[in-house]
Amino acid sequence: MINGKHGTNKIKICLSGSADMGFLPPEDYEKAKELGREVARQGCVLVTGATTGFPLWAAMGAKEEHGTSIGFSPAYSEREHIEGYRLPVDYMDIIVYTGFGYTGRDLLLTRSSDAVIIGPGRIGTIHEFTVAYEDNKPIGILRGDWDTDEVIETIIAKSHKVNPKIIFHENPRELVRLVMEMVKADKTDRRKLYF
Amino acid sequence: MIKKNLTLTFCGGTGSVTGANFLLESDQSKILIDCGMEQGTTVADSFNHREFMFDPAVIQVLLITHAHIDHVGRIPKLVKDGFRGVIYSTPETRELSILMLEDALKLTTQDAVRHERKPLYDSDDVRRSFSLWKTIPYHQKTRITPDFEVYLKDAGHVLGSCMYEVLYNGKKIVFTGDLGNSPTPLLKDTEDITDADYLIMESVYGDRNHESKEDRRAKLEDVIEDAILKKGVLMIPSFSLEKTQVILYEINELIEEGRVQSIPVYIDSPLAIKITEIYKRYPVDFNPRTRALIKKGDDIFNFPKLHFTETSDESKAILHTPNPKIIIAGSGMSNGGRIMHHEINYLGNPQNTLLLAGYQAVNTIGRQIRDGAKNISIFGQQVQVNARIEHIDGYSSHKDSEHLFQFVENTADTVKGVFVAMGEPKSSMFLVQKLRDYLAIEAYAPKEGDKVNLEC
Repeated sequence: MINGKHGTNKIKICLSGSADMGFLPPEDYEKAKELGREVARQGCVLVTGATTGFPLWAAMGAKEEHGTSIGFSPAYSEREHIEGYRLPVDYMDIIVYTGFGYTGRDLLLTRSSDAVIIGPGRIGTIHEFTVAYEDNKPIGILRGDWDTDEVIETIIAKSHKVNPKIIFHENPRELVRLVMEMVKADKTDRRKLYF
Repeated sequence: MIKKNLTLTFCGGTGSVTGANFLLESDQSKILIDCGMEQGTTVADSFNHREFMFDPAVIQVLLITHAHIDHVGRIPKLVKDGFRGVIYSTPETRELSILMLEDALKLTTQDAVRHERKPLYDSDDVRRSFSLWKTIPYHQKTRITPDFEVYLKDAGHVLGSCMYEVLYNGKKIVFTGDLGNSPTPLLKDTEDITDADYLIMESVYGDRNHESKEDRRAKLEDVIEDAILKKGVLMIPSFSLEKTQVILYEINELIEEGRVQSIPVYIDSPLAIKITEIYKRYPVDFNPRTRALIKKGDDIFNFPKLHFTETSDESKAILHTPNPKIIIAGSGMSNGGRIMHHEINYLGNPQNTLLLAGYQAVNTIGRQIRDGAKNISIFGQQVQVNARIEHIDGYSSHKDSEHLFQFVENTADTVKGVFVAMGEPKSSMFLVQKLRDYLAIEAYAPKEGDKVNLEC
């Protein structure tokens, strides 16, 4: 049984979004933080691509609520992460140095998580969405004053594969709650072998 | 001391790098810090033409941190709208501002003609501004109103740039202006602030770190060598104030050390040429290493095949000079100036290079190019960008995130509030978060119009 408060049994939620929030208004940074806070508040572990922008602000939020934050880096080492990719090391408890570049990291990041939540983003975010979609992961799409959610709706409409485990919501708290319910239902279906 | 209150209003320079304008009010006095133009964004024009948030006629003092247009550009408008107080700055800043505002006047007049509207100000407003302008040297405590004193410290950003320690009722409110990317090739390092009660600071690079300073000259060397090999043109859009002088100095060093071949270098900016003359007269403001070089007899702003093309004819003639060559011209963000003509001529050819050595504000052509645009519009003409685009952050004139943090850390024990302004929202907000999380100090990123109460 998944108990959100139990240390070894936490749901891992990947937060995916643009590394460059460009000129999104300050309110959207706050939304990213609130999403991170909710992941921590509701007893989950935050997993991100160890990058700047939306995922970093979500990690700040998670750490504000004393949550656990894990990053998956495209780099093969801390040196390459900082000096080559120019990515941050702040607000993450552990960084996994995959050495697989951005696209390879996306695969590991998504597969290591129980669910993926998608914020505002560009092609990298869409890549993480399609990996999760293909792998039948529970997915939450955060609605906001960006158009990534509409782009994803179009992709879903035109795809020839159905993933029923997708939820759209504009409220971070509700979105995290609904995504967690999908995860729990998913895990119960598979019947655990170990206690 | 009886506790008193000050009101600080953020009238400009919030949510943006440019347009600095801060109002500090006590029960007796009203002083302004900086009066800059917004540059680059599409709202910049409307911001600049807007009425001030206060009545300029009741302001007693305007303190100017340095002569960049995003800190002095609206002074003549302030005067036009009724300011009759005193303007203070370092002597270097006053001298440089004369040139900068002369240039800005030309641009605002042209802009007015182009858009068929009234110019922001005229030559009378500029002249009157300087009649109100007095100077204070670094490190001389000066009473500016019955209840405010100031002490100027070197910000190390451009020649004459200062931070104002505003002293009121035993408390210290520090306005940093822009903070230099110390150590810089020419200037002294930013002085430390160790005992501020309140800090109002910049955050242009609040969320990013520059590449190492050791790399910057090597990268410049590479870019020049590459241009020589390809027999191409190396264009460097350059701010006339500080950036041009630094690049000149660096090229001088590279040639003196035999690291690059001597090729023609054109300083194609009348303003930059005049400003360089002012730099030559203030070696006292340079760092010890540079002063030592000058003492040994090195003319740091001169080398063989350096040409100053002041007139428009001389500028046009550059097109017919042989390659390889280097052209340094304004404006620094390609939002005006002779660089745009060179960009039309040379950006389409992959043999040529455009080197961006400074901050590129949102929506400027420089920013578009830096962000990877392959097709841009200059003076209504479509220009293909096939030239090599390089950027060297190490020549930035602003402190990066790590050094901004260290700057605040020096005063973390005493500071009651840090206001992080003069930066894009993501830069300011990121710095605020780091200051709060790692130094446990009260830090805020104010929005335009925010009024805060400072307990003194």
